[in-house]
Amino acid sequence: MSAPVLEARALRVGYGDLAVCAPVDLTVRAGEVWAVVGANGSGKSTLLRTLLGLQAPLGGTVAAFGRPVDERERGFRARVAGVLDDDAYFPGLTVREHLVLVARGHGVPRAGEVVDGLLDRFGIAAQGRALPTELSSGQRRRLLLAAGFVRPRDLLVLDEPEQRLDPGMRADLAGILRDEARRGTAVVLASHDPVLVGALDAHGLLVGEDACTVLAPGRTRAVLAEVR
Amino acid sequence: MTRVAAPDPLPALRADPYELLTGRELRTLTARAVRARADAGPGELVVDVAYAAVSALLAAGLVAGAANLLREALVVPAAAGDAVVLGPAAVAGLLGGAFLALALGTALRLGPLGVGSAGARWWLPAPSDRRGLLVPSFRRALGAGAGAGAVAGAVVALAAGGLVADVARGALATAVATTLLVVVAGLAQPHARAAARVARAADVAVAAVPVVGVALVLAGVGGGTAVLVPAPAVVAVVAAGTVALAAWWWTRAERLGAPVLRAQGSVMDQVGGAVLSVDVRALGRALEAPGQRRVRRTAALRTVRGPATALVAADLVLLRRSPTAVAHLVGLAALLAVAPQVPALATGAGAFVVLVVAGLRAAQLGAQGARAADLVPVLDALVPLGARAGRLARTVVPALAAAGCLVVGALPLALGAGDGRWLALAALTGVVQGAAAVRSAYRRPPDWSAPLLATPAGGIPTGAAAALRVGPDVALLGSVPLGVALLVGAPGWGAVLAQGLAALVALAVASRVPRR
Repeated sequence: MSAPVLEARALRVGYGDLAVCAPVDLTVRAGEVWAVVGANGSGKSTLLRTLLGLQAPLGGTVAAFGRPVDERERGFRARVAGVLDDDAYFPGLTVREHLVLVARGHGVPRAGEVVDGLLDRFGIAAQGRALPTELSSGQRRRLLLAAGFVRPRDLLVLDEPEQRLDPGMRADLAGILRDEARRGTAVVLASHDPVLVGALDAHGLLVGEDACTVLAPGRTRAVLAEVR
Repeated sequence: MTRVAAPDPLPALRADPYELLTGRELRTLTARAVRARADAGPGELVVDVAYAAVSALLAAGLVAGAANLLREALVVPAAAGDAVVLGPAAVAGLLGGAFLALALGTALRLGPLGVGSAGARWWLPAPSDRRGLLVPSFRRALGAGAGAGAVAGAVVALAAGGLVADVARGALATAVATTLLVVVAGLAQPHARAAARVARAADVAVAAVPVVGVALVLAGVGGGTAVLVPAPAVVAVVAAGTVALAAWWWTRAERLGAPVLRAQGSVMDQVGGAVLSVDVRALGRALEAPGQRRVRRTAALRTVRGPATALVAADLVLLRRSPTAVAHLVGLAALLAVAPQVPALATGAGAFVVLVVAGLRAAQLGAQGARAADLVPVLDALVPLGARAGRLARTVVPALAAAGCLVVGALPLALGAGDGRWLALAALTGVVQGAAAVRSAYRRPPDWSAPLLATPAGGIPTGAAAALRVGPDVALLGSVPLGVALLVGAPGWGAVLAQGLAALVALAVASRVPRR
């Protein structure tokens, strides 16, 4: 069995002194897909932000690649990609330029070619020269998703990636994430979409106030369908 | 619907260490792309530079004019046999202290280091060095601190009656001190809780300045006229220390985490939006100290007997949970108590301006509930109360806050003249200020379709300017009876009656709900 890519032990997440969910124990290995599921406000996004080092844990430990998560470490940033719902853009840069910036920032050779391929794959090739403010909400979501795939990654963390996507793109996203896992990337995503989670055959983590429960791959979709 | 057809796996990407960009290169790449799209040619650049120069000159003229006005008001020789007054030196010292505390609080709220929200989203995840991204922010913070300090120091020294040498030394000393405080704010930035505590302490320090004034008066040491400027050797030592601390700050900048920089980006976005839209309420919200509200225990709300008292109780809880607002109320009361010790502010127009401005500010501190309800109307809709009655209920706490401060401010007048009607006038003026604060809280957004007023400093959006006067208009007009009493030096029953009528009119105006 490979070494864990991400490991959380008795991890408490929240704001101030207030934990938003029960302590989390989680071990994610290379090539695994984990779906974090739970009701609205159960703490899924807070957990993901903590796993990405964007929020300090209230207690417990979280480590990536055997070292405590610290997004200030360049090595961590080079290997961990996060796609949250940050709708912020440079007002003077086009869609393509945003992606080139990310690719070149991560040292991707022939960044322009890579970006053009991704624009095509995410269905926003025609909007490559547009400013993000000229895109629809769904197209901006595609841009954010593309930014997660335009750079090298060993761990990919996505917060409700299905948001604002049409059914076609959702289906394609499931395929893209399956390919990621096959290639050895560890994927952790929060989702409310039973179809997406079912298509990924993901391990599950049901986040709740009283307990955070690990679910077997076959059960995640069924549990998600019952979550209220 | 856009259908994505290509089912091939995405290419496997590997980073080439030689292709990695530094923070500076990342920033330069972004700037180059933006510049390539901008239409600005040499002509536009010259116009922009000329525009900035004219604006700076006009601003300098305005500041110098204000300083001279302040000087004329402060530098008044006290008549022989007068009671102890606060002299120009003491007032200048107090103003300088208030500015420094304000500068520290503002620097902590604005970062001081950051990359904006777009930078936080698109730059920070890259494995580039952070200092390369933060260079402009670092320079800006130090420059703004030094510049603002120099201007404030010059104004204070000029207002205190200083000569050219005093003004220059005052400007230099305050510039150094302000820069030092910016550096201190920078060192506190990575520690969110500590930074919030220091910001709260700075707020309390601003509010404590008038209390120090009261203490100076009571101790009988506030009457000096000589402008006090630190010795050059002291300024040199502090400057050297500031440079050393700034260098240390810069070495630690690389370890600034994304959460801190994201939070700073969010604040800067809000501040930028508020400034651009001339929205002082949004600016206040943006600059609210992180972690400003403290909830130690759940409010019992035992006084609630119905919808109106529910709103009043909610406003009281809101005020009680903001230590900064409470400290400012105490400071405003102290300011009103100490203002009569400055000759120009003891009577007449000077006293009127101080009472109206401080009273309105006190009312605004109590009107946070109304401001929140304007932003989120469902807060008022939660209770079964008409919009008009809801606004009247929202006026209670602001009116109490203003009346409390104004009564304290009127005490010297009442005791000096042995006339309790000054207190009645102050309390009724407090009701006017409370109504004005609620009117201001519920005002409509600016009408951006209104024409621009061309001035040498640039266009002024008349719609935004009109929105800004909503609230202060009632505060000023509704306090006319108090102003008349101050000018004639006696509060007749006519003035009290007129002030009572003005309070009723102000309440009617503030509770009016315009059709949307």
